[in-house]
Amino acid sequence: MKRVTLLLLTVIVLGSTAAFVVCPKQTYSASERRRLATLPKASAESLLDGSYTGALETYLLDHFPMREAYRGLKANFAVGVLRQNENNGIYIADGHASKLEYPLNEAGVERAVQMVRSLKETHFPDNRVFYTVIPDKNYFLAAKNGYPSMDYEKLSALLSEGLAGEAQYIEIASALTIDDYYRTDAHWRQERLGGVVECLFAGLGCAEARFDIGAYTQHTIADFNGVYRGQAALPFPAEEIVYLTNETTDNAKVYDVESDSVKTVYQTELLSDEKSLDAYDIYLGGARAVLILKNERDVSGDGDLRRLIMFRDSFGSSLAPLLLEQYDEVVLVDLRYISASLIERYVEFGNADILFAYNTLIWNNASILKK
Amino acid sequence: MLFSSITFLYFFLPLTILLYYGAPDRAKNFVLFVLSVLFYAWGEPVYVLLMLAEIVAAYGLTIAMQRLGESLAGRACYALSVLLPFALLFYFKFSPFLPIGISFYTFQIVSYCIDVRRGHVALQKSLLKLATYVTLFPQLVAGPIVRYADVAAVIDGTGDSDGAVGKEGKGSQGFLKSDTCVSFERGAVRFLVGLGKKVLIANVLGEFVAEVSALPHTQRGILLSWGYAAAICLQLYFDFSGYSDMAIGLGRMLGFSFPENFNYPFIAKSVSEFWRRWHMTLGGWFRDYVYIPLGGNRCGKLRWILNVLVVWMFTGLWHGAEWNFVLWGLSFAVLLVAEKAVKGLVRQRNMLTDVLRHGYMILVILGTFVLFHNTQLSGAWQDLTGLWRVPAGAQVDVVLNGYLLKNRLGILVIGIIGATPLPKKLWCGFCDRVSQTGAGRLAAVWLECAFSVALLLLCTAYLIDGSFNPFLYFRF
Repeated sequence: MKRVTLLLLTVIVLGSTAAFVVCPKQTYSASERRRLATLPKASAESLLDGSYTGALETYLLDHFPMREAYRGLKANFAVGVLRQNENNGIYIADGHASKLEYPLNEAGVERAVQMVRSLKETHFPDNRVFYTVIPDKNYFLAAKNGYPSMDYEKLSALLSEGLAGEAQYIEIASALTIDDYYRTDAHWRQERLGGVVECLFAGLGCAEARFDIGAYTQHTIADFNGVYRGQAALPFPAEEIVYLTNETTDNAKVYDVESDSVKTVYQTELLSDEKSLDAYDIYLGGARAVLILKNERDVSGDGDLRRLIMFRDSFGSSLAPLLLEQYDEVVLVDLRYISASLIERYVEFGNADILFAYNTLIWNNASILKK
Repeated sequence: MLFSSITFLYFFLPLTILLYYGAPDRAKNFVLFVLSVLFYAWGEPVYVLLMLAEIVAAYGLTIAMQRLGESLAGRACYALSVLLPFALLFYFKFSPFLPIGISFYTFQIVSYCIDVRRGHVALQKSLLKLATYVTLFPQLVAGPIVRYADVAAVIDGTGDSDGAVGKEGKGSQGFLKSDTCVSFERGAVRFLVGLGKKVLIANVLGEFVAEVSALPHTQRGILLSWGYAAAICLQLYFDFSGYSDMAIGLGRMLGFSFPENFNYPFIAKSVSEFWRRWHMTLGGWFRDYVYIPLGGNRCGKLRWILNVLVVWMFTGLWHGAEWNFVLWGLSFAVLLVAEKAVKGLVRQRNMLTDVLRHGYMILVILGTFVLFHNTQLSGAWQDLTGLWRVPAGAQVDVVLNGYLLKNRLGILVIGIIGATPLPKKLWCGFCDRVSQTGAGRLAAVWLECAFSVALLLLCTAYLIDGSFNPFLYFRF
């Protein structure tokens, strides 16, 4: 009984070491939605420059027994005992997990403005150009729950001032509430975008702005682990992810310029065999440099091709399929994955409306957009 | 390798214990040396050769020095044994890359050479034993600065240093002896306390420091600036004292008795008292090998002031070849001289003077440690002036300032209380009260057990979850 401390510590340490050696190693972490490190191979170079030991430490951390339980213990200690309002920068408010993002990066916004102006001047000086701001979850949660956030009004003013005469603003924030977003993820829910699509159609001057989202068929996929669920490591139930289909989306073709292949609008096959760790990738296959969505039906009925080129982030993946209601072709350009100087090789700008649709986090950190 | 890493806790440490206590007595130094070199090479695969070369040089020079006695050649060997490690330390302090732990092992090598010369310790004729002393992994990279005399008996196998090892023969380091188990367990608990100070307090405070650092000075209110300054001091204390606790605990687990390095420095009421409580082994080293040889205070006033300035300038430089460290050291020199000057004026001691002296010392600690924290003097100035005024044209975001403080209030309170003797006093008082009965003693054992297990599990959880784990004193 006297040496009970020593005994228990020995059991924990040696037990964990033995469990690490004996237990089979996982290849990916479902909660963190990432692949786990593999056992590094030693070489003279990697040993001398220290990269081998660094990689080995990462491997040991990734495969430590009961890793998820330990992460949960840390999260609960930070929040419950140290009384922190967040864990790993993720806070929970109104039943939603969200990542702290502050302050407003005025230089980042200015960079975004200059990029829009430069793109317009270079590639589409005579096209109709629009921009919209997709609010991140902090827009709805932060201030009312006492968390810091960027100055959204100032962001709006900076964009308005910088893009005056260059691009027309389409307001969509009023069509959204926090319930239109996944509780454990940063993204919005496709089945709740009816109001947003109507705002966009009206702003873009489409012939028919009314949009009946109820006419779509809903398909549900269970066990959606949003990106914040794993990062927070706090108890949070998994969600269902919904995607919408109708005849238009069923018949539409998605041309992936990067891989020179034609795919479907919804790519649920990515969820099998761990091809993708993010269920949100079912929308158009996730992050891609340039995608061209082609409508099989003639939208206007008069043979005229209505085209929209959307500079977008991941929010655009779930939005774009719904825009096929009013466009024959929607081209999606993600400047996080292709340099602006290269897009002319892949995108034809003639006879197209241009829409810059970025969420506030991208407008605020435009340095991740490639010039 | 970091003590606060999964690699160390769950792989290196168990392997070390098994090999060390499984090896026959004659092989223990070899086992410890090999493991220590592996420990160092894990993070410094190239500069481990520099350390080994310095050890070999010190070994050869001290043997030559002893043989050649007081001759010119003997004195030259002595001078070289001291100057060579210092020259290398000086070179690397001003180079872009500083090998980990060089400031610590340089002082250990030099202290050994001087002590041999002075006849304070016997010459170590075994290169392996000398190398084991210098490379001893628990204290190799961030102290405490252990002198050869502290560990010679255990390394030589001629006796134990604190009764930590077994009584199976003279100097035996055998395992499973009852008293060895007691000492091992005490060492393990001490190690875990240090690990907790580092991982659960210093690292979390470090996150707060990083959060505020990222905020421009024009966006910081006065209250946040005070919280930031307090967090800098507390982070440094828990980081460094946590490492020292881990080193002392590991030493004890292996049968060594390392000197204490911290004794609640934030309760000091003067600069001289502070330095008797903060990084005690560094202060002791400079006292014995620099200050006293220069004449200490047994000389004229001007000479004494010069001695103090020299010692504190070197103390600053030991931490880094940047101006903030030099100013940091010199500021202590100025304060020490000033304290001595006013000492005779304030003879009365009561609660009020104690409070005032303590308040003065807290301000000194805040000011000097903010200077210590900022390698850019302009940053230090802005941090310090932020304690009493908001910069002109500032746009303080009250919500953000309030959030940052509130979010870390828990760890700040824990840090402030933990930096005082109060937790130890409460625990010792509890143990004293319950030790009268068997049930009480049992309760104390189980409480300590639960505390230790909780510390291990929580530290493991933090290490697995996070990557924020720098040791501040590794850069010295």
